[in-house]
Amino acid sequence: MTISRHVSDDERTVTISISGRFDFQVHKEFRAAYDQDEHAADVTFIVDLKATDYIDSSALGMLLLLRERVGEGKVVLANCKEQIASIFRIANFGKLFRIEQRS
Amino acid sequence: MRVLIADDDPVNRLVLRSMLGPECTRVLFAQNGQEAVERYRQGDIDIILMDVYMPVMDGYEAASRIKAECSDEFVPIIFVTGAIDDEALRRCIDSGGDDFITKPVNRVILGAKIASMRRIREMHGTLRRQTTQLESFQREMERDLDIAKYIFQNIGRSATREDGIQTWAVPRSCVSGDVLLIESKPGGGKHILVGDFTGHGLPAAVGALPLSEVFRAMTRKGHDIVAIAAEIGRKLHRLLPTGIFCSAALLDLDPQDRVVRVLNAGLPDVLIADRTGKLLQRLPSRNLPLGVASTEARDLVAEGLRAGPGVWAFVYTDGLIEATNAHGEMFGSERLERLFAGDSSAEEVFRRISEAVQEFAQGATQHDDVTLAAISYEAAARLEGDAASVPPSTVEAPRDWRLHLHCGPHMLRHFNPMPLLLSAIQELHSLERERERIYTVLAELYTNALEHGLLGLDSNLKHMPEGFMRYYDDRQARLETLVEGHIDFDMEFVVSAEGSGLRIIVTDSGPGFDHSRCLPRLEANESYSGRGISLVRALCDEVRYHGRGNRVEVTYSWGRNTE
Repeated sequence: MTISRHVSDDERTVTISISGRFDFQVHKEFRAAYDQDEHAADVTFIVDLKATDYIDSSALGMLLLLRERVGEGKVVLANCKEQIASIFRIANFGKLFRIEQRS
Repeated sequence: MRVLIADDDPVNRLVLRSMLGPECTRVLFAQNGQEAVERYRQGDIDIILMDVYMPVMDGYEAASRIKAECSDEFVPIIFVTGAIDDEALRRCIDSGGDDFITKPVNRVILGAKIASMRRIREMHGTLRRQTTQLESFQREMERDLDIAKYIFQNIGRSATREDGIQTWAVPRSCVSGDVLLIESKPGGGKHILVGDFTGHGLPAAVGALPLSEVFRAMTRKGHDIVAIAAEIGRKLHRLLPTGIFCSAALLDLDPQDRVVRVLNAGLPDVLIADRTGKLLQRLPSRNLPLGVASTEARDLVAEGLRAGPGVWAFVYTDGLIEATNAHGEMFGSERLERLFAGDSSAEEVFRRISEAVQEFAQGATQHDDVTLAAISYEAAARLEGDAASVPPSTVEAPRDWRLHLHCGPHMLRHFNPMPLLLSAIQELHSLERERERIYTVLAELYTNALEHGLLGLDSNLKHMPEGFMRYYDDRQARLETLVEGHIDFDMEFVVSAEGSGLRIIVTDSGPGFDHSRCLPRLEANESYSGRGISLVRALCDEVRYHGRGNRVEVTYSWGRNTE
């Protein structure tokens, strides 16, 4: 379970990648990954879940915190595996986040 | 560091002392093992240099006694010995010593060994402090869990078989984050709520409290599950931090309508089965979990289906389908649905599910609370018992009723009759949309009757900035001294051209007003009653004054005000 962060060249996109389990254990690291962008106004955050194979309800909570922090419409949940996608479906997170497949 | 040197030879004692570095700030002597033990008992010794062969009590015995009395402190003992055979050296450690140094003592080696013991002693001290702190945290946590357990036990009565609900619950730890609530509706039938809070223990219990209070109170007042879910959602959103929410499903079992309505906000598909246990339908979650956002009733979606005696609903939390086995596989919804073969009974399916999940997850750690409820529409809605009380023709609420409330001075001085009136109407009609508007109408009419009719206040004063406070002080003073007069409320169910509604008549014993003169000014929104009456006129079909202006009659119909 590791979190990594990558900023695009134009500094308009921040990608946070999570591998392994996305649960309460990574709560501090996840927060640290976006906490530094306090002054960024027009930045989109992509949470890349390509390598995530498990999320629990505390992870959903962390995503809500991210959304609250950076603003509506600024968070994209990307590349979910089927299992993760179905959890987002049950929680109707499509109403709050953009859920996309990206390369 | 305070050093204790135990040696029967005074020369040895002095020699050792001379070898000690500046960190050894205080040096004490003992002539034999006995003295060494006594000196140690006096306290404050950081390290002991122990000779082996001493009269009265030897070093081995002394070391062993000292270590026995050490309890949770670490006081290192370095034996100073002339022996070179392995047995004797081994015995130094066996008897409780932590190290040894052979004579003739090398000053550098002695210094190194003392430094090493000092490090270990510090580490030991840190560890001990951390353990004490952890133990204290653990005790606090256990106390919090006890509180959580108590709360969960008391927020609702458990569902029983008589309720038509069978439940299977396996909490992950001693307090589950899942709730199951059941409450009877005023007109018959039941509301059921199954909820899964993020987290466990006390944080979950904290959310469960307002949730269960709202659920019960609103169900009893006749509210709809959509309104209840919206209110719970708003409350949780407001009270709980972002990231804490409750995935829930609310079910409405109505015997009169022969309908099951389900509002699924974040739980896996609610499964509907027939009496043979065959899967008929899935009701997926169409709403955000409760507390994620502030919700209005119009944002929520509930689904209904025709129900009859053989219909069963299976509601479960994600802990069931996410239960993992020893290989890390999840039980999954496919395995679950395969059990709905339609070859036995719904009760049998319920039993099979709990058996299958337990067998599957054997040997693996449980990650989440598991809750499963199997609800029989027949038993829960209690069709048989209520058959007599069900109105013969349609599913409408009662029509032929009339309510009269007389309020004398004492009542008016001490009680607000509004909630009483409103809940009376509420009991008879489920009027979620209308509730606020009816309250507005009643409250305005009551205020006018009381403040102008009985207390004789000048409402113009109320609308002036300086007059505002004076008005209310005046109101309070006059109300406290009210000894005669009364206000009467008459409410009646009526059917008019606009639809069903209420006729409300409020009569006060005051002098009234010249309504024929004032009404044109009311129209122009400037009058002694000001904004209030205009609002009433906007909400009601009709507003009429009678007598000397102390009796007002309004008709409010619920067809009229829907968007």
